[in-house]
Amino acid sequence: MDELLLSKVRLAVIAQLLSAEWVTFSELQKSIDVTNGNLGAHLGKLVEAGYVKEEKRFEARRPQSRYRLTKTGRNALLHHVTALQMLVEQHS
Amino acid sequence: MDASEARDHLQWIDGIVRATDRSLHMPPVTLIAWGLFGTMVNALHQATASGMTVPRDEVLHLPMMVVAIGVSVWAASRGRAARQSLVDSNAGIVFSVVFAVLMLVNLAAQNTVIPFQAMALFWCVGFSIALLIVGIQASRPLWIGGLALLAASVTAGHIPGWFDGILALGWALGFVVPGIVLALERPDGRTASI
Repeated sequence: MDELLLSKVRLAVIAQLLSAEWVTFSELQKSIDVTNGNLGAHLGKLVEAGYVKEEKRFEARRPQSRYRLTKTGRNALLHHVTALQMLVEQHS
Repeated sequence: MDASEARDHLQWIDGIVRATDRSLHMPPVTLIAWGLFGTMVNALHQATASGMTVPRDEVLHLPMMVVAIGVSVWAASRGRAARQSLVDSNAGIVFSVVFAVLMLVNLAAQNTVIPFQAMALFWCVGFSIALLIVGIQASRPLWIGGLALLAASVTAGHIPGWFDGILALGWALGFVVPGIVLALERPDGRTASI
């Protein structure tokens, strides 16, 4: 089981990015409903692990961070889901 | 983590993945620009067919196309969408491929092996397919627009005297009206998913 994905916030970030090319920080914050600091910390861990790629740019002269899921992140989610399914099957 | 917690996590992931992002963030002004371009081109041909004197195709078509391309580039560059969904990428690919293929055929074969009217019909049918593909995935106004453009394409052949006029109407209903609807729907250009 992937230790990083045991957190519901990080799992929610990965799941949000799964269905998008990229999502901005503010949109993720709105969708997941967490504080900026909390989301920033979780995103930092995902970026550090290589699950998520961060891109910084300027939008209408304002800095904007946007995030996209990497292949590593996608595979990690698949493995995590498989591990969860196996755990459920073992106990049923 | 125990089994009940794992089950809870799985159900939760399933819920998020099921509610996949099917929103479209196409700038309405792009639809309106290309719709007006198609409407004008066909309306001018209808005017010619009706005996009116209008400038030659190359005098008007190229500047109008340049304007439509300019508007599209401008709209894309000022896009403030907070996310780009997979549907957005798909829409971009579908419209670009349809445009490129039809333009290639237009340049290569119109007036040699493809009569002008047949080419006008190809443009309508091609873009009605694009509107339907994108619309069915993500936007009701677009698929209704696609149906309208397809209906115009089918009907036009049966009324030869108004062939170009009906195609012009099809472009207006297929692109301009959905563009206006989307612009009114949400100020940021997002469309509601079906």
